[in-house]
Amino acid sequence: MVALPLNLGITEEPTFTGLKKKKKKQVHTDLLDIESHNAEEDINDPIGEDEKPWEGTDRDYKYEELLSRVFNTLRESNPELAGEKRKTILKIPEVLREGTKKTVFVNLVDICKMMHRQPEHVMTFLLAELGTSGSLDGQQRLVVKGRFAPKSFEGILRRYMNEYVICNSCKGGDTRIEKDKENRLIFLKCDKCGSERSVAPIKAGFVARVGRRKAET
Amino acid sequence: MSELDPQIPSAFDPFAEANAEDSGAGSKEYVHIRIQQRNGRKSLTTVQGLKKDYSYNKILKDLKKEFCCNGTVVQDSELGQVIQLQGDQRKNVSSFLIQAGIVKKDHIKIHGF
Repeated sequence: MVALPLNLGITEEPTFTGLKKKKKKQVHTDLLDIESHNAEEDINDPIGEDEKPWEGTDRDYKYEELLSRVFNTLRESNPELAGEKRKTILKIPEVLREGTKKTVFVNLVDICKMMHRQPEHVMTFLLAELGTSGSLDGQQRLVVKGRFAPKSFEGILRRYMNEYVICNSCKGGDTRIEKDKENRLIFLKCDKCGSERSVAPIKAGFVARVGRRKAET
Repeated sequence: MSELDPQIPSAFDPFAEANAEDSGAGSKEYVHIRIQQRNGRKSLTTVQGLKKDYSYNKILKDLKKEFCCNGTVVQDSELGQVIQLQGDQRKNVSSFLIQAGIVKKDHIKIHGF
């Protein structure tokens, strides 16, 4: 006997699955809407300003209008001086597998030289971010415990550069790390524009105990 | 009786604004979400730095139910209580914390590959 669907208003199964899917979609679209809405607003604003909002009235220029005027004329006449170049010398990190449980980062020292950084500093950052242990072997290669893709190394290196190498004001890559002797603070000093900013020391964070319990006594 | 009048504290608390600002921007207590590898494709997600006032057990229970994974609260000597979850739950955890209102987006730092 086939059970006829009684229309008592208690249609459970179809609405149950429907609700679940709708819920997820709603959440996603809400976030997406908010993001796209914000992006639209951002896009619309500069376009509005291009039409010279000050033309009609007699008022003084606003600071943001002056800024955008300066940068637009600068970009048109002297694109190099606008100084928005990043460090485009990023070498591709080469990683090899050593056995099944280790990954070898071959280019570490070369990349450190391009960034004008100490390999130890970069190594501490890498190990803290990956959450594993590792060491520099005889050939100056970094051997890390675990299996990692080259893309993950690239991501971590990019984060390192954004935080510890690139100057915030001129986006240049000629920076040095200086330790302030009196306060034990670490500063990042830029050679191109001379600005200094403080950076946090690399802390290892919580490392959960993975592995065998019997190995430790 | 007239002596008591100037001693009655006024309703205006000069430190209220400073305290509110301090907890908002000054103290900069980050919540770190990290990931570690286990054998094979398995991984561990670690959440460290949540405020001590929260009931970690309740948060953990909600997280476990939400993401269908196992987890535990580990007591660390220096870093306090740390939430450990199975699997790569970094994005899930961060969106959960933001939506629940436990942490603000600026205070979350995601580490790892």
